[in-house]
Amino acid sequence: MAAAAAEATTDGGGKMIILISADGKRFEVTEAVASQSQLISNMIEDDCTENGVRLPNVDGDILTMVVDYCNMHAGDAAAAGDTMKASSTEEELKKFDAELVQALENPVLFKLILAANFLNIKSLLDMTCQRVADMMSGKTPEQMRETFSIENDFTPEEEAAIRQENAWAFDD
Amino acid sequence: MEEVTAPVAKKRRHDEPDCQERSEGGDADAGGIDLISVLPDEILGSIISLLPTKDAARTTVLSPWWRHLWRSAPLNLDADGGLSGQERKRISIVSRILEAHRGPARRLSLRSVRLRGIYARFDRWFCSAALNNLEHLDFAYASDGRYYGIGVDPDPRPPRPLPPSALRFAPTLRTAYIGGCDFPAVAPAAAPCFPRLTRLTLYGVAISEDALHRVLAGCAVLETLGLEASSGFGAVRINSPTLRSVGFAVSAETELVIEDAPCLERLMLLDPHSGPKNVRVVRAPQLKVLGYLSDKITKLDLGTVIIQETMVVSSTASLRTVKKTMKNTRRYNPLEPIECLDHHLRYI
Repeated sequence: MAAAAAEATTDGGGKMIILISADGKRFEVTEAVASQSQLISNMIEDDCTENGVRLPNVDGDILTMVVDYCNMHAGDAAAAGDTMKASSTEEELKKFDAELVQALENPVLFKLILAANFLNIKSLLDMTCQRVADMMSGKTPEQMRETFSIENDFTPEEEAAIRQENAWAFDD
Repeated sequence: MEEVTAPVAKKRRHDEPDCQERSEGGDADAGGIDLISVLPDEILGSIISLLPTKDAARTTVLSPWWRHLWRSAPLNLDADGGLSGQERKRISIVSRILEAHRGPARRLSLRSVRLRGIYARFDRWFCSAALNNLEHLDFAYASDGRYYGIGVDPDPRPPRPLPPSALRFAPTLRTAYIGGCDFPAVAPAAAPCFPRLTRLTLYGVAISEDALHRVLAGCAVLETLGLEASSGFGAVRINSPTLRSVGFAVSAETELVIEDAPCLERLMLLDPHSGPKNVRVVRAPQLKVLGYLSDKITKLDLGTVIIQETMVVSSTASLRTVKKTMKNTRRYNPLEPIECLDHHLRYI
């Protein structure tokens, strides 16, 4: 990796950071964008990002989504001072977030959750966890198992006993 | 090059031996495999705590792995009709959930149970370890058919004491709605601190002026305050470096003084037919929205200008000198224009 590229600066003067996915894809982002990850923010503070940051447990396709998300949300803090600007941006962000999570299929959704957890991006983690909760809400256990391919390893007797323990939750 | 190989703070289940067991045969196949159960317990707990209480409890039968997750996930207890249509059953279910859970708790919503002689039970609930570190409290005694509205003589009505144990959540609360109860006395030496509370609403609460001011003084980061249909205080003085919005609808005899609120943007006097009687703003340089301007307000003092009783109809000349940009949410009558508002109104 070229150190010069890693230390390049944007027009605004923000330092650039290179993120490298498990499959070797490279993403050049500003410090402001990358800092939404608390993990990377800490690394920036500790001066450990000079030569790029390799993320061996985040695939390129997932990191693409994470970087898109961070790019989209990087303006949040900057716009917060301007009420009018912030409110219009807020709507765009809501739309972007809604489309992002709605489009996610199960395996990708869970990989994104793991990435958000690993990189410690709270807003993305909250949003993706909420998506899973929405997929579970109002469902019977059978429907929940079907939605997420959860294998029921209980014997019928065991399951009946657990249902009995919290009978109020199963009475409709 | 920096290589980040392990999570810094969070425990990852699939780094542990039993995870191998759980995802056995999983990664080799595409589709149709249980990927959700591979998420770390902490995340599964967060997901469970976002579910309605009943759905959350149902996750215990999904598989042996899910069996105990609900009991250790942050509790989200919504004791509404969804638990049971019968109050007696709801009470019993709430007790059982609180006994079974280990805590901590994310949210307690308890508005569907009447006091009716079970004060000790409410107190036990609030003391339950399952509710440790509660972040969101939404509490009101359910109506017992009596009218407790403002302006009602307090003597004949039976007391509805809020157990002081409810205040033990002060250090961790982020939002609190407290309604339909008598707030406990707050001693100066034992005044609660709410270091994380950003939103506080008191609705239909009897609270002494001292207790109210001690609670407000303990709120370090409060942004939104609602004080409605509440009684027991003659004057409310607001001093807050963080407060952005105040909603106020109280007895027509009350006085509201914004002494120092540098971030206050919205002062909403929510009921056009009630108090406060006097509103005085000493310092609120960011104030943008003021309304309704009730006809019960006999004195409105915005720092440099004092407007007397009939200000809405006949004091247009005085109001013109108000320097602030105000959005009046009063039902506006174009036949009786308030000129400064006409100059500055951006939207109604």
